[in-house]
Amino acid sequence: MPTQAGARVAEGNPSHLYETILQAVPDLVYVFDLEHRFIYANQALLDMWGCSWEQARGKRLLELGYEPWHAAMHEAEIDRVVATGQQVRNDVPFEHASLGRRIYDYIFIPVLGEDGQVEAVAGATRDVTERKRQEEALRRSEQRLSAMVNASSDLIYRVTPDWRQLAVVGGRAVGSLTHGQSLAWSFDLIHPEDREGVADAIRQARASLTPYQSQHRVRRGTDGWTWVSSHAVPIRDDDGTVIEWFGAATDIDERVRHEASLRLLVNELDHRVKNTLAIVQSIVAQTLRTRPDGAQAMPLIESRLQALAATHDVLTREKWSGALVEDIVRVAVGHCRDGEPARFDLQGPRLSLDPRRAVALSMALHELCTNATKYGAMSVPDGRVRVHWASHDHDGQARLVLDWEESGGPPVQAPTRSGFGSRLLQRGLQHDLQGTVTLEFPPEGVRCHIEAPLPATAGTRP
Amino acid sequence: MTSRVLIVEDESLLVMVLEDLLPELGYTVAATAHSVDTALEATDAHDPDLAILDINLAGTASFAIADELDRRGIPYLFASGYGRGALPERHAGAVLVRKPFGRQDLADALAGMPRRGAVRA
Repeated sequence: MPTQAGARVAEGNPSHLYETILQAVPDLVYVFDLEHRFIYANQALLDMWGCSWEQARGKRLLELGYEPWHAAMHEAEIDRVVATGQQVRNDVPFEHASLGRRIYDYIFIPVLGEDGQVEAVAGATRDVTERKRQEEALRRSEQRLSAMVNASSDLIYRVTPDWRQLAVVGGRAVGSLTHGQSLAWSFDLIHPEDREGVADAIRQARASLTPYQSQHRVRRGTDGWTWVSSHAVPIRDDDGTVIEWFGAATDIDERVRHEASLRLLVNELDHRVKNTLAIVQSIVAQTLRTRPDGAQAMPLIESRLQALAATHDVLTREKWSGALVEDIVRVAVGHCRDGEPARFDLQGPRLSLDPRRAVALSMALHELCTNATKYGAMSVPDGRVRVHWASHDHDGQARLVLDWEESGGPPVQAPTRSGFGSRLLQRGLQHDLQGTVTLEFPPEGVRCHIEAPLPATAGTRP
Repeated sequence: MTSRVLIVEDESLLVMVLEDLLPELGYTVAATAHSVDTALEATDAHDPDLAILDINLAGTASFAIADELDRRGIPYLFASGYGRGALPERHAGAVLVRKPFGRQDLADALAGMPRRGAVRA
């Protein structure tokens, strides 16, 4: 039977010193005979098994509770060492009696007899669980970082501490910079107007070792530029020296353009609101001028403002690019057409007016309609209103021709004074439409003939 | 002799307000115009003493009219919904009445205008 004397294997040199060391080391040290039986195990191995040497002596791996695949693997390795005289190195997971699942790195080496034949196989096993765990964590972390860099919509770059060399390490291309590029840092990359700002940001970041941050344009192609927002942080080694700057640049071209168009839009909106307020002011002032009695003026002011608001609704629907004549006509006569659409004959082709002319036409038609309801065709049950419009060619220029004709109303009397409505029509509409307006009062019904140039392309801005 | 005013404004309702207001404030309306071209024509034809200029005339800025009025030594003021920021550098010192303006705002601005010919030609 094999004995506990490791010294016997050590070629008849039993040494109390060696034995003491072997029993003290945290590594597992053991020896198999040629039949795969343990003929030596140090204390660390016995602790792992959770048994004494007396219990383990002469046992095979299977008998000591190793899983069959595990035992078979080691026995094959022992046989290989015996057959080849070469060492075997490997790692394997194993359930430690008290520490749970661990990973072990082991080496099997041949023990040669005096005749040069392998007479036993010695092994040393080290618990590498922590190291493996750290390696695994590091690998995962690098994998994640690499995935992040590649999935990023930003351009990821590294710059040398002297800020002379730039490498693009991942992410989406920005401007003319793409993944894998390594180039000398140059202000040629930066838009001339932004160079000073970028230089300042670099100087400040390098002097204070705080994150670099800048918004600037980078070269795209030969003559284009792309707006980017760039951030970089200093990476330092253990003694605090900066070894590189690591950064990301985001393409903000679209955002910058969007912000610029938003600023324009807000300015334009401000102008339109102020203009509309001035129009409201004018409507109120004009109405009060002809109706100094507030109680009489109020319904007229309301009705006129409602017509203005309804026209704005039509224009907003078309994003203020213009409005169809038909929509303007319907909206403008809406307040007296309600419930009696059959008394209105509205006809004409699809024509578009620019916003300013649309508002002018709408206000004018609204006045005609108000007048018709009070004194004209719409003041009696059988009266009718005919509104027909068309586009006429006039020396190569398209003109809107619109006719308002009332019939069936009480006999018309020409007004004795020029009220807001007729003034708006003849004076204002002519001005706004840059056309002609003829207002007539024959006894059979009010007539209004409007001619105005149509924009060559519908929807010119006001 | 009352000063004769040229109104340059593309919005007819605002023209009407000015047409009503100016005589009440002691001015005569010399002409009205809605665009740069018609304003330059009216300046030629009516030789006004003063001008009130809207800045945005159907999308076109009225500064070319102001340049011509400067050349002729005709004083003018801008009436606009835009703030002072809309004025180009060469007109940065011009009088600006913000829309919507009140009767008194306009009266004060007009009263403060230099006499014709007193402006730098």
